[in-house]
Amino acid sequence: MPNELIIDDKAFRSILLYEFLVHPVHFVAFDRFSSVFIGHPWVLEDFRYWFDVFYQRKFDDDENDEQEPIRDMRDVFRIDKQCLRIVILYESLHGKLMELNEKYQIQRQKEYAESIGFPVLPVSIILDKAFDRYQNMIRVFGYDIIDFSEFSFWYYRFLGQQFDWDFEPTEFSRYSFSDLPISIAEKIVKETGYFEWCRLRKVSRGLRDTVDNLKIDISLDILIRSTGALIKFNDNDNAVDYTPKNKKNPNGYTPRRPIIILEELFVKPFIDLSILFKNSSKVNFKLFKIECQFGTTEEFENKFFGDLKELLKELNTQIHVESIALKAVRAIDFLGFMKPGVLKTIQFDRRPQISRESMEEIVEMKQWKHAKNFVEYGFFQGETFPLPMENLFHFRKIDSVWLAGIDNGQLIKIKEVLLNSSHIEAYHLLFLNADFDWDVIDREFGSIIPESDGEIRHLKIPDSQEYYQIDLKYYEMRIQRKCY
Amino acid sequence: MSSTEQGTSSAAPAEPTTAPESAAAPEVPESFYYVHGKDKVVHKVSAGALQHSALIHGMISNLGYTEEQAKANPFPFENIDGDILQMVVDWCNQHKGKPTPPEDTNLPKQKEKLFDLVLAVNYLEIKELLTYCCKQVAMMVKGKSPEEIREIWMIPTDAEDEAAEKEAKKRAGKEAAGETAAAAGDAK
Repeated sequence: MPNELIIDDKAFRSILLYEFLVHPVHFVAFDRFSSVFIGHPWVLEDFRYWFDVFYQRKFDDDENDEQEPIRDMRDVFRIDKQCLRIVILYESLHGKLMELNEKYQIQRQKEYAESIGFPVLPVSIILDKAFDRYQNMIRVFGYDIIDFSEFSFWYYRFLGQQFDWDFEPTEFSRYSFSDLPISIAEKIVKETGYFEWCRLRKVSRGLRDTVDNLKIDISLDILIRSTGALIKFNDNDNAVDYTPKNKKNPNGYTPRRPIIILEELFVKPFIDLSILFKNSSKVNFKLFKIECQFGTTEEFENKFFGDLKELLKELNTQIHVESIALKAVRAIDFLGFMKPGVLKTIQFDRRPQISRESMEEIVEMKQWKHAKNFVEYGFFQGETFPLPMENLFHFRKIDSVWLAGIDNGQLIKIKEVLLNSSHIEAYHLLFLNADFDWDVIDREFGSIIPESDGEIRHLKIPDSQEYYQIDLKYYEMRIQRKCY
Repeated sequence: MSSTEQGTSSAAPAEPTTAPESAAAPEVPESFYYVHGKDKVVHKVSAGALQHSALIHGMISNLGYTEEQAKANPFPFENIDGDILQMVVDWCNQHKGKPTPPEDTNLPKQKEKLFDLVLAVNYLEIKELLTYCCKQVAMMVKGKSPEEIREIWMIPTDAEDEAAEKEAKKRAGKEAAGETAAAAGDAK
């Protein structure tokens, strides 16, 4: 359809004149034109011919017409609205083409990521191109020819395959964002994402208030890297890359992810993050994870955690975090800033080994005592839970926790705890050294169920329809509460 | 999908024509209702399609209209532009009797009057379409600077806002003074 539209001589000349104003080189214009109007009937020579006419400050080549040279070639678009609309169509086709290219790239990246089993899929958001194309046009025309409201009206209309040039709207849009009810404005702001919230706050006082009062559930994943920090909000599509001034995008790794250059290391992420922390009663962190990328120096890491601690201290608030994941050795500084009771899951990166003294302090914290689940993760190199296992028995679920050793006495203690508590759902304990007697195990936990897959035993809970399924090996014990 | 025809909001609107029913049409005859926007163009919409709108669904249930009564009294939505109402009606028809899938390809493609559409959808209480529209409005400013956001969403600066507020107060004050003077004149 667009090809049929530009068969019209005036339409063709309008686009050519626009290209001439953008960059007066006819073969560049030919390339750009051919990229959107595939199979058009014009040849390079036509472009050269018309560019020569434009150089003479004329819009048409009528030799009988003794027309005065046009003083400002942009007047063609000022005077004739149809010419202007044709250029908007041209920009809309470029925008569409960019979107299609991006879609194709994303699809290719996704397929590749899946084929190699890459766990993190690439960014998949295709940004709206209307404003970029508008800016492109404004660079040539200036702001006096058209405003964004009028441009976007035609831009989207053409994208919607409505090519009626002569359509004269009575008004472009009666409303703007400021006319929306507060509840709708909040809904929209919520949809924009973390990176935009930081920017929306700078637009107006009203929007700052809206952002500061958002009631949201979010997952925050901070990755400290040797070149700054990557903050992921909810998913991979909402990530912001904070990079120090002297290390701007050193690997070319994130060409399409917003990058914020830091004037001073880590000050900026914390200004942005404080938006979420300040609003502690309304922002609920489903997950608050801080990871350190391999190769990050300790000095760099200390700077990050030091600044974060300072910020939380300054705000003097306890944030609502349901699940926290960070290095065990850093936990002592941060658990205190989480609201006890709200914090359900504690996940520790087991490396490096946490000291006994630090762990003793942690287990005395309300946050530890009120948490329901405890998980350890990360590559194991001999790090074990440094305190007696009794400190773990208040958890409902325990996953991948290494104990230094286990013996008959401790196993009997576990059995007593299991039979005397109603809250335990699933435990997975691992042992660095095991020293127990299988006869004692058979006596205490029952013998192996013959038809079971593995070494499963059933420990019946007296006076109930429930039992514990216990899978015990030399190096691990898996316990699961089940019903008959 | 929907049929429209120039008509008036008077008691006897022009007879709208319906789109040809598919071969797999339900056996039970479907009831139809009529709505019109600011441009008075009457749209014939099935009850199934109108279920998306909590507002119209509520009106239908409360009024207990027969088809004849509904035809004679189209629901007037004078605050909604005709083209916007057409868009909404089309969407409702396309999603008649089924929930909107997460990747909905039948959503309105015209975004030229998105804010008008958001307000209309909010007024008509079409939850799923409102969510989609909000996402579209949010996408408009993805990756943009504060200045660009201001331009795209047409948000006045704080200074402009304050000036407009002052102006409105001034005008309200003048009007109030004028009314008081008129009332005093009447009393004399």
